[in-house]
Amino acid sequence: MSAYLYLYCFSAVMNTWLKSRTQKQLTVFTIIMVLAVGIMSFLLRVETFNTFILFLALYSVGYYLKHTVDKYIQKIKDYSLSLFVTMVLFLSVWGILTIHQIGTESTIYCYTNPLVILQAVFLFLVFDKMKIKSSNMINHIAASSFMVYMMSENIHTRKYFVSIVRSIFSIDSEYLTIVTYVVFFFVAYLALTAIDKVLSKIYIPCINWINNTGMMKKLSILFS
Amino acid sequence: MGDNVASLDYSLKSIVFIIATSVVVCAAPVFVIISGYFGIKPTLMGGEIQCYMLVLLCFVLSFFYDYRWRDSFVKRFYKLSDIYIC
Repeated sequence: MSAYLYLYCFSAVMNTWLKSRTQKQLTVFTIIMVLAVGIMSFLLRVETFNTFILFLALYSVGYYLKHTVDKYIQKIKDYSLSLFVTMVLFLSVWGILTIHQIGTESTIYCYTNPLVILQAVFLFLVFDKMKIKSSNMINHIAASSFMVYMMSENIHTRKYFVSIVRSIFSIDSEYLTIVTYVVFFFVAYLALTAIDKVLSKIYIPCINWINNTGMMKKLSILFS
Repeated sequence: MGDNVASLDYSLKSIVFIIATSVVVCAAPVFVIISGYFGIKPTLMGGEIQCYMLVLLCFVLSFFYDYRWRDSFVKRFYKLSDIYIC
């Protein structure tokens, strides 16, 4: 949920700041951020790195993937599916061993695990390679996916979704369970999408106004 | 015999759970990576459809991951693996 808020608040500043970096600076910054998250948060369990710094690291990774001219990235793109499957299998085995040892998988299945970040990159590249025809309708709905995901994953709202889904799966008839779940899925998705659309109606004029005033550039210079 | 079959069933489900977890865990980081990739304004406007398909997939999987499997199967797996190893 915090990542969603950070996106609202800082993406424009991040864009301006990252745009003013050279290729080398961008590479170094991205590597340092991912390593910082891996070492400080995943290994040393410093919680400060779980939120904003993790967001900065992931956002930088995305920006780097778009703008890099590194030939290794192109090679990784070619093998992204194999690399993703390998990573899934590796994490699965690691997860099984961890559950056996300490009774929970949560220590490795966390966003700060560098392997999870790497896996996210591979998964992203798999989909990025695909050639799918653009559809305005799907783009319009999917544009709010992040909001939908974050709202349904949020610790404050998740319990409501959990109780609804559990009650759906407790229905005796399998056919009715599937139908009810599908209906619930679409209703929940569309309702949360509608909320995001309303928020964006407020947000977009605000961010456009701020951009026009040149405030973002001033902020990015301040950060650099 | 019946117990063994039941145990096998649980362990298979547990393995499915672990694999599903391994797939789904990277969903949230992917969202932020997508945003950085497109330099997106927070509503994820614009961009390419394949990334959104991924987002939809992650959303569907995350329901099953969180609500259907997580709570019970990890505990069952833990107990079973304990029994198997001992």
